[in-house]
Amino acid sequence: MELTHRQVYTLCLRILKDPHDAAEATQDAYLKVWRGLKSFRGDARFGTWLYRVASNSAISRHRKRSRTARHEIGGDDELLAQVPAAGSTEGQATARIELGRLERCLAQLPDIYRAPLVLRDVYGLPMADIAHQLKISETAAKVRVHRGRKKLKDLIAQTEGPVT
Amino acid sequence: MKCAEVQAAIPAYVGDPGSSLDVRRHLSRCPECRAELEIYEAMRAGLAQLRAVPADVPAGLVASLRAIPQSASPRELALTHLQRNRAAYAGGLAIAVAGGTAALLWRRRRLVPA
Repeated sequence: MELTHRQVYTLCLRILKDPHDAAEATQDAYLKVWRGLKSFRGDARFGTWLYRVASNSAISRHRKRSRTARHEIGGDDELLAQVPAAGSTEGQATARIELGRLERCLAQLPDIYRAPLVLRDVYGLPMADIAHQLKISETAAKVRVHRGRKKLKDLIAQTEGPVT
Repeated sequence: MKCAEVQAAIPAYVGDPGSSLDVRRHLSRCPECRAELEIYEAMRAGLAQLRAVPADVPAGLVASLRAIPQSASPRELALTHLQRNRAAYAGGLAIAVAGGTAALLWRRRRLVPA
């Protein structure tokens, strides 16, 4: 559990942006994992299965949050502050800055594009899974991912310096 | 294909390079569009790296996660058990119903005079 809870929490935070919501979604995910652990057949990689469960919890919570029309909390700065240093050498420090910049731009994306893009390009979930979780068609999921990439690229272009 | 069309297609192409031969042909002879593709490729590489960059979890979350098996109520545990073993229970129920029906039929046949 200790090995994976940070990854699960981070996935939820990237989708929800709010640390409190992300913590609750992580707990939901672990409850589902605990209930379903014996039914995990091993035909999928455990990490992929865990990410699928976690993203499902985060998206369900996001849906609930949208329904209650709660005012969205700007968690961007908190997320950025939590991104750890990648290392102490100069090269790694440069990479860390670039990843921080990417994380900041990602957090600025509208929710409709951020969730599918995070699931596809950060966590590598299959498009069919993303469509199923978002309750949209696979074509619509693809369109959102592609538009998300375009918008993210535009956001990155608005900031200074090279991409990587 | 014109550069504008290719650049509009790159967000889809970058995740699936085999998707368009026309885009690939254009990219092979257009440095400007290739530069655009390289930005997307760098962006995707960075996004994939983010997977290994976890955020710090809030204090208390780990303790909450450890308490999950203990916090599940007996009703939840029973439901979970039923869900996990529903095939076995369904099979057992089917056998019981079939056995009961067979016993009833046999008894009726014995009661009816020949």
